[in-house]
Amino acid sequence: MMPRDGMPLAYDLTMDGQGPLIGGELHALVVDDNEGDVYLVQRMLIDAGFVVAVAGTTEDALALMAYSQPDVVCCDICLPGADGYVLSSAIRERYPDVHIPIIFITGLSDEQALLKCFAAGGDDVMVKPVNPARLRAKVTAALRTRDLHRVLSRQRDQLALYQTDMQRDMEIAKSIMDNLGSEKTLALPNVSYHLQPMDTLNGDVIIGGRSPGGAQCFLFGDFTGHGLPAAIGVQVVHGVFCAMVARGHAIERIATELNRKVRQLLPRDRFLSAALIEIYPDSGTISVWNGGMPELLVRNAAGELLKGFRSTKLPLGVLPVEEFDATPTRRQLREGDALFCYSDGVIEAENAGGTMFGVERVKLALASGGQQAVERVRAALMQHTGGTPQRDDVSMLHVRFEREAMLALLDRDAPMDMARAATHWRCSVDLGSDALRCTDPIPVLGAVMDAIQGFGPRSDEIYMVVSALFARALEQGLLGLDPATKNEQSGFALYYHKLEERIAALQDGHIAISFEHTPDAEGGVLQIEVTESRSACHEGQMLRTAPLSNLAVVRSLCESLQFSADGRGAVARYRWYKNRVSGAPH
Amino acid sequence: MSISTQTSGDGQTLTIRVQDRFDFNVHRELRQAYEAAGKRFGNYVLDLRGTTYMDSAALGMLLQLREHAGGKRQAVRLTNAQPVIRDILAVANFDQLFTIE
Repeated sequence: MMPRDGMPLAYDLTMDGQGPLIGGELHALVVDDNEGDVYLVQRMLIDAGFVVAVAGTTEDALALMAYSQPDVVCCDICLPGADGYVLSSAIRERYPDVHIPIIFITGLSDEQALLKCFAAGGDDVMVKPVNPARLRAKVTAALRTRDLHRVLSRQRDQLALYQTDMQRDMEIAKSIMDNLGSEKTLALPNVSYHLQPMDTLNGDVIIGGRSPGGAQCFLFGDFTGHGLPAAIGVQVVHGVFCAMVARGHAIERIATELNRKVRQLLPRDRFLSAALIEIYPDSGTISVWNGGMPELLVRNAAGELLKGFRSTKLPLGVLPVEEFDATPTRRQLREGDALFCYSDGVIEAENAGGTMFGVERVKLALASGGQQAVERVRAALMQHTGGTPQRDDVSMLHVRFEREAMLALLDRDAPMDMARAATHWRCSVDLGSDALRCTDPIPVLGAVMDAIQGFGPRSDEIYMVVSALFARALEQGLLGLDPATKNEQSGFALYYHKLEERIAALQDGHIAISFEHTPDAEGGVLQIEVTESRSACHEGQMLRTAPLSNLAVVRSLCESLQFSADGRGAVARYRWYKNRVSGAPH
Repeated sequence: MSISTQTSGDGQTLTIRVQDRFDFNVHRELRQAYEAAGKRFGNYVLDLRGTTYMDSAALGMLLQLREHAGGKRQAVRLTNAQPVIRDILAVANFDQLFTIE
């Protein structure tokens, strides 16, 4: 309906992006019991392009509005029955989610009466007689307010919906993360830990695992940032870590692969600060790779602080593959020694005064020794922060070196049955010096044997036998190292240092590993042969027949262990029984 | 504005300062500061004298700046870091990637 006096209504119907209202019409409701006044206002509004409804009382007006709400209400103050103030208040009360502009048009002129219009919820007030141009201007302004309100309401509702969706997605992500079963991997008698994420999704990660060789391995890490990107990172890292530990990969390879994966997966500004820990209970060797985590604290049984493991590497995901340094720090643990790890959320937690908790307070809480380390640090942390909001994820891990308890874990959850029937097969691999420099064949061979035969719970024992024979062939045979030096003071670190040096310098030689499997009525026999050969003698030292502690393990697990005349070849026969997990002869 | 920049006389070096908290809130501003000039600067200096706090997001931003600057250790220098900031850089071993003065 076009305005009759030629002046278009100065109002943009599409201001809120909704397009024109139904039929493109604007509706007004005039509430006044004076016919003459009604006619005048009605006329003005029709000229301005409105479709106008009229009510003579508050009651009628509200009844009409219950049917459909107008775009603007023009009402008098003096009405029969309930007055205009009551109408205005009622409108505000009944329609709290939409803003219906209310313009009072009244004959009253005293200040108090006019001010009361606003108190009753009105947007404006005009005193009769009404000036048409002014009415149009005020109605326009009122409609602008209305539309602003509409836009904001819609945005608020969209935001609320979005937030609900986000929260739901986060909770799904969280339950996926919980299903990873990290908690099970840490349910060990010598381990305690605490995870306290700041939000639904944790950017900190703690994973445990046991290698087939019996090592306890841990990943203690902290992704940059929080939320979904961190959670996705945790999923990937969890998968890689658990699979590699279960295969028996050494800590260096795990670090290398994790670095590669994180770098590939996450954008350049995101990485994983982490400490990788590998503890062999039988020898007490601990290897730690620390890239970006606070110093891992080591205490002895009496609670005294020993040398810790500082961060010496860049976090995972920062360096490209060719620059990555996977070399861990190796030390020896004694019975009762304990390792305490904590994320920077612990030391950076502030009290009301802005003082950080700091590493000295951690050390203080640990000082009394004993087993309740995590509880004590938690308590001290809570006491320090009081009620201040948590600003970062908090995590702690405590691992005690308890040799017997750790060794006893070895066969705990091994299922009995074989996946496949025992079959005849052979498999062999021959590695030249260049392959030996960069390949660890044991996990790969384990995977092959799993694929061909699948030894189930016996895989661990077989792994130990193959590892021991391979180590003998490589370390003693090709590299000329003396295993007895491992037992000396800081002998392990020295031994491994020499090992790395000599492997890097290895120029000739081969190691051949072969398997031959023969099933029988009770189970089967796996014959493992490991032979090393090289063209030149190394240092003239024939150490190959010197007893090795792992050879004792081999002898205990195998039916027989024999050496060739020159000592370069070893043949072990591992017999397994259908009704038993262990191959060790009774 | 928590980021301020300064160009050297010879137009070769861009010095950036981050005031107070160097965290994820600063991300956009910092990026704009060094990306605006494209790759025309040969050297970048991050003057940390006014920086009182740095988190892992900030370390990530440093890595992005380093990549923008060509990925070499000499390309980005971190200067005047307060002790608490130095510690954070030390734990992360960022001296392997940046020249820290």
